[in-house]
Amino acid sequence: MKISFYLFCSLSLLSGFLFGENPDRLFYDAVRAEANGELRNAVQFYQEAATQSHSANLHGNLANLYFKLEQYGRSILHYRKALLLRPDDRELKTNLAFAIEISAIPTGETSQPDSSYSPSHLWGWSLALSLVFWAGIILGILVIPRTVNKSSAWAFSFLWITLIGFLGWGTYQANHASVLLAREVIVLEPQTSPSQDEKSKHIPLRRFAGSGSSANTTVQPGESLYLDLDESGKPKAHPNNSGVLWYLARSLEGSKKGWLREDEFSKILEN
Amino acid sequence: MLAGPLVVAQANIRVESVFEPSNISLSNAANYKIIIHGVQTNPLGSVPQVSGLNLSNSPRIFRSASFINGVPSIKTELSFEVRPQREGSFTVPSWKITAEGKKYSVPAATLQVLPPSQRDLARQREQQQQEQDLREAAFLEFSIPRPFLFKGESTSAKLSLFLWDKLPVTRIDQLPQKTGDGFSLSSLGQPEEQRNVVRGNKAYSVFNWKVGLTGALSGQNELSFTTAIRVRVKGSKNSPFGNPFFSDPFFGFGREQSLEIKSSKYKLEVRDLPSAGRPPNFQGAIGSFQASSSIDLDRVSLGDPVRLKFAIEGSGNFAAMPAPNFPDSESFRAGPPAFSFTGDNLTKLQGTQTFEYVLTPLTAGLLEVPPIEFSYFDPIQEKYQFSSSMPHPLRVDPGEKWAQPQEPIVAQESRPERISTKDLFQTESEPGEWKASLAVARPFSSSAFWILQVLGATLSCGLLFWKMKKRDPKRDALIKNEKLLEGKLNQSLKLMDATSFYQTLRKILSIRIGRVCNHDKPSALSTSELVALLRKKNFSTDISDQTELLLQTCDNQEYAAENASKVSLQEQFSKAEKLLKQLGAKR
Repeated sequence: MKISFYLFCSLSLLSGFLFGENPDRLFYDAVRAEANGELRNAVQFYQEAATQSHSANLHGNLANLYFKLEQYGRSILHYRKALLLRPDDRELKTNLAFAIEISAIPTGETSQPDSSYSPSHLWGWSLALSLVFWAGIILGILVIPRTVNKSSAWAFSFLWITLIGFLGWGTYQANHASVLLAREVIVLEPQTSPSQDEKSKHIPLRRFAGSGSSANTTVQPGESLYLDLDESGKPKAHPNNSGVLWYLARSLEGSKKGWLREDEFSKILEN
Repeated sequence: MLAGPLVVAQANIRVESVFEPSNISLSNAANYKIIIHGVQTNPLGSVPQVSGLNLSNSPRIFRSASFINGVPSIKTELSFEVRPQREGSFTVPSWKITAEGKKYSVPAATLQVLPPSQRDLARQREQQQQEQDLREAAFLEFSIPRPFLFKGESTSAKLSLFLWDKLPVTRIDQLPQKTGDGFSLSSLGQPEEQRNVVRGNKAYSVFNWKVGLTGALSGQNELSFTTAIRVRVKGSKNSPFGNPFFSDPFFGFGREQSLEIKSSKYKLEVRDLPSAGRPPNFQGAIGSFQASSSIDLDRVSLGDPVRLKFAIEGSGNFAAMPAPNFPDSESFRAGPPAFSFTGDNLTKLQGTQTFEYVLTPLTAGLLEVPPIEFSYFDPIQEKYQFSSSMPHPLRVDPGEKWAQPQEPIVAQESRPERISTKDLFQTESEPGEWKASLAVARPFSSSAFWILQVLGATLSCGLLFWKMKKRDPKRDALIKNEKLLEGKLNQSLKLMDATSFYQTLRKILSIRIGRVCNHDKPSALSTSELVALLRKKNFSTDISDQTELLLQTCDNQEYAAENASKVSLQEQFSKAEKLLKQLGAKR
């Protein structure tokens, strides 16, 4: 009985050490590690915290760290994640723009979220659209036929239709951005030594799903690509002999297209 | 109040009441019986309370049916247990009881309570002795170093459970529980056990709990403790009081029984903290403390965080100690501190409380981390004290870009040689709001969104249906006709066509009157009938007269071809317009 009790206590204690780290603690550990100059440790703490929960500050700090480590793809990825949680944050937007500028990604090859029509504002757009639509209908039924003269009724209808059109367009844009975001991936740096030249950091988009395949073109870490979907709406993937998954992705305009290995990119909405 | 199942009852109803036995000694109990003959249903009524007698609230009810000389007889008997509180003669007066829907009088009954007999006294003494034995066999003691506490002060106290070695205790059923709202108690941990503690010729095993006691309410407060132990007793019916284990040669065998142990009631004073000399930064710390501080780095770059550890060591109410405020500074930004305590974690009365602040320097240069002042109340000296940490010098470098401003520009490349992280924004020292997922909520897959749409559609359809139901086609036709005629009237006025003007005006007036007076065919009515309708509808005499005059003018123009030039058409139009408005307003 006693042995079982001690065993239980020991296991509880051990599990506390092993699994008891909450994201707050990990975040503070990361801040301290960064303060001590242990950037790699700080990244590990932040990454571990990000497996449990997300916050704009966590992804912002992680993006800053990757920037310091000159891993601009990962930096851009985490700025994008941070902006998902705080879409109107001016500092994060500025940092993202700066990271894109420093990583020398050609204009248009990575998407920068437009705050007005960002997926985070989809709820606002659709709610405003619904409210204006139904309010107009109800007002039309209640007031207009009796008390309003013809010209006022026409003016009201015109205003209402214009407003509906504007809000509908906003909802469509935000919804479109939301659909695209679900498919969007950011290309990451290969795990190579810093001494390697810039070109070796480029990721080839292969013709076929395999490392030996020739490439259509290359993409730079930090560039945005969009995964092709299969008929069931899932990303089009192909496993190779060793079980590694390859995904078919293309740029927004479709000018770049090819297969990417699963460790060469990260989805923004992953986790 | 008595109630219960219904049983059919017949015959003459008769009520009796009696005490059984009618004479008892003080320590005994009697039964107050009410017998209702001829009834088997439960009667209703309230037994009067008699001073000096304790009557039980729940009577025992007996029903019986028998044949007496071939005649069926039924009765219901209610029996209340009665315990006297003093000697004397007690009479339950006559009272009313309801049976079979009728009220009957319960006769008075008298109980004689005699002084206790020698046997009663002996039994009482035996019971007192047993209780005394039990109190000596197992008891709780509480000790506190000082006779009073300050409100919010935590002090170490000792709670001891004494168990006589001969008492067959199998286990402690329940840890001691505090009774008394004036104090709060820290959790009880594992007790410290002492063997062979002798008290009054008896050897005890003592279980001591070290606890932290905190004064919560000022004033004289009572404090007591209760615990329960499990003992082994012989026999299934006897309680430790009735047949105690002390006199039982077989104790230690048989069944287990829980025994509640109550401590004495302790009276302790909780005093309010003095208001005189209370420092403004006092946050409720009471005890004896010493503050110290340290920083992890003495040289950092601008924006890099520094950890400041502020430690408070000593004894006092660590459990209720908030973090001291970091002084406002233009040179540093401080986040909320992390807490950690080392010491007696159970009572949190003695040890070291550490607050770790993450400071972010806001300016470059040789800065000084300001000292944190901590004030507390010393309950021994009964006055407020201060303890302050030392200031710490900190060198803050401005950053890489400034360190090498004159570095020659290397050959141009597609990417800068070294990118300064100074251009990036500061690392946040707080995690901010946590979210479980990055996924953006989509309204089209949310039930709340669709509920809103259904609500909007339901409301619109409901309103539309209501409007359509409210619609009156005859009335709508009148309105439409009236609008057409209004156009024609304007045309007539424009062309100065008096005949058409008056014809149209009469039609408009009759339609308007028909509308306001709910008449289906107003055009078929004569002037007098139209005016009568208005009067019936309680229009003012002025409006009725004006309408009559205008209608007569129209009639005269139509039938008598009266010259209309006496009053101009424009003037008539204005009058008619005003009148129509008045008629409409009344509607």
